[in-house]
Amino acid sequence: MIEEYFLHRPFSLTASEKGKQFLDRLIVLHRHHSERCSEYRNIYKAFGRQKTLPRDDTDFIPLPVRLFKTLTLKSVNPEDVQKTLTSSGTTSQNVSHIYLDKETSRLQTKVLAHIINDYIGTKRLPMLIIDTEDVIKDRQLFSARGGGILGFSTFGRNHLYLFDSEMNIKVNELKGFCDRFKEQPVLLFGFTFLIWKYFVEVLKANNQSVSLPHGILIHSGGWKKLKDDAVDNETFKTAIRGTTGIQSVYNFYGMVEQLGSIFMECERGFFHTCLFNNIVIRNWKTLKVCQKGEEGIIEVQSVIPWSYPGHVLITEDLGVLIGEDNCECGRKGKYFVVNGRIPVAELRGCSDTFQHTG
Amino acid sequence: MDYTTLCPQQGKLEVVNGAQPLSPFHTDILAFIDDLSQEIIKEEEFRRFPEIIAAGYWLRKSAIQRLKHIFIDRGGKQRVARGLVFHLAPSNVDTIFMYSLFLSLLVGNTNIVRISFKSNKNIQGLLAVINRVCANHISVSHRFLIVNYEHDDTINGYFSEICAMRVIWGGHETINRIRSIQIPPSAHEITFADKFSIALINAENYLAYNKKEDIAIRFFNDAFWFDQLACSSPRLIGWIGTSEQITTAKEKFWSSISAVIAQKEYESSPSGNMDTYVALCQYAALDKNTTIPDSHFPSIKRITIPKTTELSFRDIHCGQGLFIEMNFDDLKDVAHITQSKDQTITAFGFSSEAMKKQLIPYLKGGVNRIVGFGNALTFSHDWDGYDLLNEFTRIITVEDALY
Repeated sequence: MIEEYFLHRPFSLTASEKGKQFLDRLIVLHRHHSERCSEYRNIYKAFGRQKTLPRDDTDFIPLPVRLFKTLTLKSVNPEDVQKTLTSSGTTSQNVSHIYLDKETSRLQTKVLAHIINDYIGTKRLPMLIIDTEDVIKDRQLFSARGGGILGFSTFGRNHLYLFDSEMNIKVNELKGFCDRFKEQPVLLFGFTFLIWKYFVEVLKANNQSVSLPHGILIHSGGWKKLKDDAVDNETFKTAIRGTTGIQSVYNFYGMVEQLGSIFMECERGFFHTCLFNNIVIRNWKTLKVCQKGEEGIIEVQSVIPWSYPGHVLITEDLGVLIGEDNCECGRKGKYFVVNGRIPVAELRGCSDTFQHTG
Repeated sequence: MDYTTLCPQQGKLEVVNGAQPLSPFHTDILAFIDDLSQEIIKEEEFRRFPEIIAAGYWLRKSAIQRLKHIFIDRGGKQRVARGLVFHLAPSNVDTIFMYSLFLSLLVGNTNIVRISFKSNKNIQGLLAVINRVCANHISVSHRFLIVNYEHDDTINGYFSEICAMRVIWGGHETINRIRSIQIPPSAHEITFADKFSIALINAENYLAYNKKEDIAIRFFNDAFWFDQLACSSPRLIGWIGTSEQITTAKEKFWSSISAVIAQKEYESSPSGNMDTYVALCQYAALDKNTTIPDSHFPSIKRITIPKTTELSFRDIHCGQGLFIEMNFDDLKDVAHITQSKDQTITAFGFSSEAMKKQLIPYLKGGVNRIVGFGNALTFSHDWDGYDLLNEFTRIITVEDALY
């Protein structure tokens, strides 16, 4: 039945058109995970919810994304796990483990393609990857970053990795790429911070620019480091236009715990839900659903996760729901902004004099 | 060496290192501590920080006199100071450094204290007061140095090399890391590791007690002064009684606690709230017999875990307003779940006789103090199983007949 989703364009359905079908799919996933994942089942049981099904899309118990760092959560037999995704993290304790079976991987790829094709068309475009090829070669580095690049590579052809191993721009290759493809749409992909630090800032510092007027840049990743340098989305876009001529710049909000069903930015600067995903903004104190316009913690929902209980997750990001089905960009669905991470309180520590001094 | 001297303002390591030990409870020290106590108690800006006021009262003249008597009763006449004591203070309870420092100072030691400095306004104010008092007690001000630095093996190494005793407050990681730095072979060391604490309530006696609001205020102070991060703040609430008594008692107890929370306008932080939600889910995920009561009190999260659980529930806990509840038949039943990490039991509705007969003999480990509600955070010269006045001194024996 999930195949029916692909008959519609991803941003074409209103809340009432999407509603029942979306909830039905979440319930299917809920039943599956309740049956196959004891941790998931236990959580519902502890909250006294083992006997009743969620009434609507706000009625699930969201699992904290951090739980994937401390627990092994999967809903398929071990022999059906095809690959394990890990989030980037500095210490081994701090890494999420996401177990994927064949079906979940297939859906991730298919959903991502359905969303991206709505932005760039179905034809493969010449593609500039704003990163170094080392991240997909080096298995040590192979993480969300490498996975993202490989996932997006399928939308391109004539791929060029912009940086050498030292993260320097491969100037000649870049010039060749721009000369060859400047008259046609090209796809650019990379991580926000790397694009800023190793591409935009380097071009600016050297008073250089390139010309890709028909380029479409899709980027993602945290804004934290950029915020420290007072770079916001508008500054970022303006600088991209100034240095590359690219007019179409789209950020997306997504996470390794829900690969595939990403939330794409629109021309108005808002992230959008689509057929395959949803958000609920929750009050940080009570976890009750926030009003439109009220800041809260972002809960993300996805129709994809089958092999692990990741269909309803509470993130550690703050966001605001701006509206639903009436964004000026013309796309249906909820549109929202992300305001960064929940601020970490000045904790008096978990009694460790080392942890909070560095 | 790159450290910042916080107190005394003109403090010099050479001076402190060169100062000789004094006899325990020397009049110079007593005069200094008395002045300090008075300054702290009358400082307007500390009104908002009850933990600092409490430290001020702890240091007042009569309390120090009592300490002196205890010291003497326990054989203090034979004891002398050790010399230079190097204290590594904890970051979770930022007033602890005072107790560690002033107890050691009282019995005649010289001291270096490393505090982990997180620009807490209250601690800055406290240091300012100590500095002010130092100005009138020059000789005492030569006997200690409060410093701050990012953990650095060179600095830690130097202070360790010159000390006669090292005191480490901290988590396991801190203790292990500091312990890898040598102290002189004859030097003494005590460590205060991460601990876990319990509150015990006799449901029947609680139901019969008519000052429930008073109990709630005392519990609030025990649990929330340091956002439940102090080692002695209760994290596990053990209920003893029949299941009917417990059910009714729980309802009354938590609604009175939530009233106090509302009245004190206590709020957990957004990140703290997320931390406790994560821990709650983790407990629930790992033990199928947990229950999470439908809670209407946002600053409190509760989970009932069976006493038979195999969860290492102590390690998952992260403070900040999360209460594990367990039901027990009797005190012996409680003793069975204890382990070495346990420190304080805050109890309501029991006699000390019952504790001595029905709990202590059956302990599996840990538990160093059993106190009434409201006293969980009250520092004592007997702490974590150490008699600190004893630890900070050494014994000299002299035989009667020396000819």
